[in-house]
Amino acid sequence: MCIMSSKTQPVITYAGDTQLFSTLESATVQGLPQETVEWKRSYGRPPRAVTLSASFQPFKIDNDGFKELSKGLKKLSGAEVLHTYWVECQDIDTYKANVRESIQTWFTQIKQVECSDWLIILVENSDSKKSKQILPRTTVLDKIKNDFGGKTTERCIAVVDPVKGETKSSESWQTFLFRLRQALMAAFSRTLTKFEETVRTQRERRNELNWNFCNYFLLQEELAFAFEMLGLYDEALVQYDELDALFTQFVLNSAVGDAPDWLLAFQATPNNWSGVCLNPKAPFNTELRQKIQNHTMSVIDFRNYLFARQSALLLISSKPAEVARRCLSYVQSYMYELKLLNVSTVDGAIPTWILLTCLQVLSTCQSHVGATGNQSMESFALLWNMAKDKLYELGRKCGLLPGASVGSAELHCVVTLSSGITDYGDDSAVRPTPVDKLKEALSSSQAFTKHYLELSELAMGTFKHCGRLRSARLIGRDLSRFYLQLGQPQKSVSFLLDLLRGYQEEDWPLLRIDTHIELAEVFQKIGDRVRFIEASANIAAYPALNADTRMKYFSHLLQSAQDEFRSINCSSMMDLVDIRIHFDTSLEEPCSVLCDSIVRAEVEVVNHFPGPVKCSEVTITVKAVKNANDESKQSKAAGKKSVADKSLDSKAIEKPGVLAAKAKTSSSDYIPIKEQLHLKQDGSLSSVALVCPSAQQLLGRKVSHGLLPTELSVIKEEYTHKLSVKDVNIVPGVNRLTLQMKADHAGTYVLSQFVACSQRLEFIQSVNCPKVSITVVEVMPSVTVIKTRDDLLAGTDQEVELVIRTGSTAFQNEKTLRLCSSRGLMINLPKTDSLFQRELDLVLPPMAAFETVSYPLKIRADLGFTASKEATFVEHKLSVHCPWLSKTPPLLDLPLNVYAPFTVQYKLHTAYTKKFVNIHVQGLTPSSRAFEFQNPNVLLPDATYKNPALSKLEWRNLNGSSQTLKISQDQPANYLWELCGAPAQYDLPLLKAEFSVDYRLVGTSDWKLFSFNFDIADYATLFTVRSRVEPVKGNDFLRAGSLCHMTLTVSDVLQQASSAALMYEVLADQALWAVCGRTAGVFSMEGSSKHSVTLDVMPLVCGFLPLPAVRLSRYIPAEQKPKETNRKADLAAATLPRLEPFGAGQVYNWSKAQQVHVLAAPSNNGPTSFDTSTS
Amino acid sequence: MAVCIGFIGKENSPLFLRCINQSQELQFHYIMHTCIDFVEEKIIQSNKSGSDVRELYLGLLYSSEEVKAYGFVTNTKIKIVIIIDSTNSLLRDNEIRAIFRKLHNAYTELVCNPFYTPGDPITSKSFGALVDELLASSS
Repeated sequence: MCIMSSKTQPVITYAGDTQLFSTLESATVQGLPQETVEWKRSYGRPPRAVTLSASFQPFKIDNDGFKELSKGLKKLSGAEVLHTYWVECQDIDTYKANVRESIQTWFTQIKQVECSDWLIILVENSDSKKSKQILPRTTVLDKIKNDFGGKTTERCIAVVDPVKGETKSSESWQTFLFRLRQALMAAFSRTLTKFEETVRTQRERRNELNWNFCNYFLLQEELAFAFEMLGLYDEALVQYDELDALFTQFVLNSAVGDAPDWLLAFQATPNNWSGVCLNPKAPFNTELRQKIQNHTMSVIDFRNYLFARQSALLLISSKPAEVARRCLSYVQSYMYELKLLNVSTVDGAIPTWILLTCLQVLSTCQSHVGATGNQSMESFALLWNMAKDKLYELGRKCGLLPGASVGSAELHCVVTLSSGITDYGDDSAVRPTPVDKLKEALSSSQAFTKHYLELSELAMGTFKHCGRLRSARLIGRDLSRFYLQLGQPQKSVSFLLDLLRGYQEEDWPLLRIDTHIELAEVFQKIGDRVRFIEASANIAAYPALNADTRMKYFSHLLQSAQDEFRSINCSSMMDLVDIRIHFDTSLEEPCSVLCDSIVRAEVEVVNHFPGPVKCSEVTITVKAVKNANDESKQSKAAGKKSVADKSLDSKAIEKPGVLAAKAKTSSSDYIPIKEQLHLKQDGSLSSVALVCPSAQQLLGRKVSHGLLPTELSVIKEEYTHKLSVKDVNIVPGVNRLTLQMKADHAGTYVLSQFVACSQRLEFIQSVNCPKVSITVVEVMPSVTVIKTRDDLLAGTDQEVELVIRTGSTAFQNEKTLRLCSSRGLMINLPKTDSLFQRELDLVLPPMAAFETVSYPLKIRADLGFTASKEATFVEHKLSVHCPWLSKTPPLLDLPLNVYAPFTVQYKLHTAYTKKFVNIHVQGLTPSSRAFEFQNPNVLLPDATYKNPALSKLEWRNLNGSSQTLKISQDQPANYLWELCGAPAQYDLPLLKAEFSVDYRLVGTSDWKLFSFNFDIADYATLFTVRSRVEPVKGNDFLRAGSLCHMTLTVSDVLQQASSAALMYEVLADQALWAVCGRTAGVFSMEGSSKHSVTLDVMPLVCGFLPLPAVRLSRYIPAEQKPKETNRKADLAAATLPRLEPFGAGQVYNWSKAQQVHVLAAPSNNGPTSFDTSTS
Repeated sequence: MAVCIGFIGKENSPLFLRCINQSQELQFHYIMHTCIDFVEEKIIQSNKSGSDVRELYLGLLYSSEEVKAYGFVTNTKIKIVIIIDSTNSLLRDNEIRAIFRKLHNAYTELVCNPFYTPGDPITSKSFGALVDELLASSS
C-alpha cells in the first residue's frame, strides 16, 4: 500500500527560497491530508469529499516535458500537477530589487510545461509586522498579486511562518493549507480529466492492430490507483470492473471469429494454478503486474491479478460478502473463458485452481467477516460446496476415492498438479494454508477422505446455518454416496432418510423414488431387510419408473414378505379410492344399520404394483366413537333450530331434512337440504323447492394444497371391529372388493384404517378422507300399557291394552312375560278363562324384529278409597317382569292411575228428638259415564241390638220404593233414614252402621254391591234452644235503631237435672245486630228444666233479619280438678275455665234460620237512634 | 438456451416440469428442488424491503458450471423456474423476463379452467405444448 501510494501521489514542485521551504516541507506534507476537500467533478458526476496527499519535488525543467506535451498525458502516477514558488520578503524595496525578477523567470518556465497550475507563497514574519505600527500603503503581497495574479489573485498567498508558533500564525497556516488543498485538488482534477481523456482515446483504438490490452490495462489501472489514493475505493473498483468487462468481451468476440493478436499471448498454457492470492498484507502482486508489463502472462495469471485487486478493494470497503459472491461468478465465467480461448491445461489444473481459489477466498473473507453477521453465509455455503465438488473431482482424477486403485497415471497426475501450486511465499498466512491442505489431501486416500468430509461438513453446516435446508440435504446425497463407496453404508442412511423426508413433505415423487432406490441399495448392503422391503415397495409401486426396475423390486418385496413382518404405509401402493357402505335406508337415522345385521362395504382398491398381490385378508378397521350420544343430541338441537327458522320467513315454510351424500368422491358429511313451500297470498301452494342453505360454501372451488401428510411408517391402530374379506388376489389396477362386518353393538363407528395382509406384510393406509361413519342402531324391546281415551275408573272392569314391541332384536323362542299388579288392583286377560288376580303370566310367541303385539287386559280396582274427600284417584302400578331382556332392567313398572267414580258422605240430622241419617252420593264421572244405584240399605250389626238400651233401635226408610238413581258429576243422590227408638239418655254408645247399595255403570249389565261404613254418634237430643226478639213495651214493631229484647230459652230435653253449667254465646252478625251488654253468660240448669235469659239487642238495618245465632256449650269451671291426671302439662289448663262444645245432635235450636221483620227507623229521630247504637 | 422449465406449487410441490433432454429430467428435478431455497430467500428479502409492488421476477437464482436458473414467483406463490445452459450468453435478462411473462400468462389461463384444481400437478396438453414451444424457441 505504502509503496504504491507514494508512487501514485501527485507531485508538487517547489521553487524560489528552497531553504525556507525545507523548514516548512514536513509541516505542509503532514497537514495536507488532515482534512478532506470537496472534489467537484466533471461530466455531472457527484462531488466527493476526498483526502489528498502529495509529495514535493524541486522544480526543474527538462526536455522530456516538451515531448509529453505533444503526446498527451501518458502517465498519471508521479505527474507534476502544481508548481509552487516560496518567497520571504519583508518590504517592497527588496521585492522590487530582486524577488520580482526571479519569480518572473520561474513563471515563464512553468508556462512551458504541460501542467501549468501554480501558487506563489509569501512567508511573512509576524514580528516584523508588529514592529511597524503604520500600515504600509501597499504590501509585498499586493505587489505580487498585482504583478502575477492577473485575474486569479487567489493564487498568491501570504502565510505567517508557523515555526514561531503563535495563535495568529497557526490560523494563517490553516488558511494556507486550505488554499493549498483547494489548489492541489483543482490541479489534480484537471490532470485527471486529461488522463481520462487519454485513456478514452486509447480505448477507442482497441480495434487497431498494434493495440495491446496489456498496455491499456496498465494505463487504466493508473486511474484506479489514483482513485484508491483518494480513498474512492468504489471508483477504483469501477475501473477494474470496466477492464474486466472489456476483457470478457474480447474473449467472447474471439469465440465468434476475430481474435486479436495480443489475445494469443493469453492462450499460453498456465504453469501455475495456485488460485487467487488474497494476502491482505500484500494486496498488490508486483510479480504478476510485472508479467502484464512484459506481456508474458497466462489468462490464469491475469484473472488472478484482476480478481485479487478487485477483492482487495472490496475488502478495504469492508464488503467481504461481495468478494465471496463475486468469486462464484468469477470462477464460473473463468472456466467458460478457458473453454472459449482453447487454453490447454494440465488435467486437473482447473479444478485445483478453483478449489484453491474458493478456499483462499473463504479463509480471507471469514477472517474479515467477523461481526458482520451471516449475510454472506449464502455465498460461503456455495463456495464450500464448490470446493467440495472440486476436491471430489480431483480425488477421482488422482485415484484417491475410496476403493479406487492408484496407478501410474494417477500418480503422475498428483505430481503434475502439485508442481503447479505454490504458496506465493507468504509466511504470515495462517497455517495450514489452502495449498498445504490440498497437498495433504492429495497425499493419501485417508487424508483425502478426511478433507472431503470436512469440506462437506462445512458446506452442509453453512447451508443449514443460512436456512438453505434443501441444498444442505443435497450435499447429504453426495455424502451418502461417498460413504457407500467408503463401505460404510450405515452412515449414509440418515442422510438419505433426511432427503426422503424432505421430498415427501414437499411431494416430489421423482426425487422420492430416486432416494428410495438409493436407500434400497443401502439397506440391502446393511442387511436391513425390514426397511429394504419398504423401499422396495415404494419403488415397485411408482408408475413412472421403467418396468424392469419395478419388477425387480417387486420380486424382492414378495420374497421378503415371506419372512419379515412389516407394516407399510400403502397410500401410494394400494390406494383405497372408494368405499361404499350399504346402509339400511329404512331407518330414520342416516348412514345407519341395524344392530346384529351384517354390514357390507364395497371398496375400490387401486394396486400400483406391477404384479398381483395375494392377500390373506383385506380389512378396514372400525373404531367406535365415544360421544355418540352428544352428537345425536346436537343433531336434534339443530333440527329444532331449523324448525324455529320457519317463523322468520312467512312466505316459505321449511322442513329440515338431511340427504346423505352418497356420491363417491364427496365426503360423507351431510349436506343440509331444506324443503321450501312457497305459498300464494290466499294460502294455496305456489311451488315447492329443495334448498341447500350452504350451497355457497359447498360449491366453492377447492384448492388442493398438494400436500397430503404421508408418514414414512404407520402404526396399526387399535380397533374394535373390522370390515373384512379373506383370501383375495389384488391384481394391478382397480380391484373391487366386498367387505363384511357384523354390527353387534349399537353406537357410532368411523372407518379407521385399511389393512391388506399379504403373508407377513401389512399394507396399511388411514381412511382419512372421506371420513365415513356408520351408526349401528339398536332399538330396545318395549312394553307399554295403552288405555282408552277416558280415565280408568275404580270399581268397575276397565279394559287396557298391553303393547309389546320387539325392537331391533327378534325373539326366536316363546317368551313368558309376568305381570304383577299393585294392591287393590286385579288384572285379567280376557282371552284366557282365568279369573281376576294380582299376578298372571303371558306367553309370547316368537317374534320378528320390529314386530308389535298387543293384548287386551282387564283391570279392576277397589273402590275402598271413595269415602275420603281428597283422594279422587289412586296410582296403581303394573310391574312387568321380563327376565329375557338382558339389556334392560328385568322389572318394568308401568304406572296406572285409577279414578274414583263417586264419593259417599254421611250426615246426621236432628228434628227436636228425632234423628235422621243422610247418605250423600256425589258422582265424579261425566254424565256419559253415569252410574246407576238401586237397593240402598242401612244396617246396624246384630251386636248392637244385644245392648238392652239399644234393642229398640230400628230404621225407618224414608226413600222411595226401589227406584234406580242415576248419578254423575251433575247429579248427586241423597238417601235418608230415620233412626227410631233411640233411648233419651246421656252417653249413648257409638253406632257402627253400614250403608250398602247396588251399582253399575250405565250400559253394563251386572250389578255390583257397594258398601260404606260409618259411625253414628250423639243420636240423643239433650237441650233445645229457642230465641225470640220482641220490641220493648210500648212498641208494636221492631224498628231499626231502636232497642228490643232478645229472650233465650234453654230447655233440658231429658229433664234429668244435670248439675252441669252451661254457657251461651250470642253470635250476632255485627252488620245487622248490635248486642247491648254481655253477649255470653254462664248459667246452671240445676233445679229446673228451663232457663231464660233476656238481652238487649238493636237491629241496625231494616228488613227480614235472621235472628242472632246462639251457641250453647258445656262450661267447666276453673276450680274443678282434672280427673285422674296429675300431669304438669294439664295443670295450667286446669286452672282456667274451659268450654266443651256439644255434639251436632245434642242441641236442637228451634229458632234456627228464623227471621224477624224490622221496620225502618222513624225518620225524625233516626240520628238519635244511631247515636244510641254507636254508644 | 433454456433447457428446462418448471412450475412449483404454493407448498413447494412440483406442478409441472418439462425439459429438452429427457435423460436429464432427474437432474433438473434436483436443481428445481434446490432452487426453492433461493426463491424463499429472495421472497424474504423482498418482504423485508417492504415495497408494495412486488417484483415477480426474481432474477438469477442459482448458477453452476453447467446451468443457470432464473426464478419468477406469482402473487399466489407459484414459482416458475427457467434453467438455461451456462454457456449461453445470448439469452439476456430481458429475454428471460419475456419468457416468464409468457409462462405466467399460460399459467393464468390454465387456472381459469374450472376443471383444474389449483395445486394439482398440471396435465393440460395445451399448456404442455405451449411450454414446449417456448423451450424450442428459446434454444
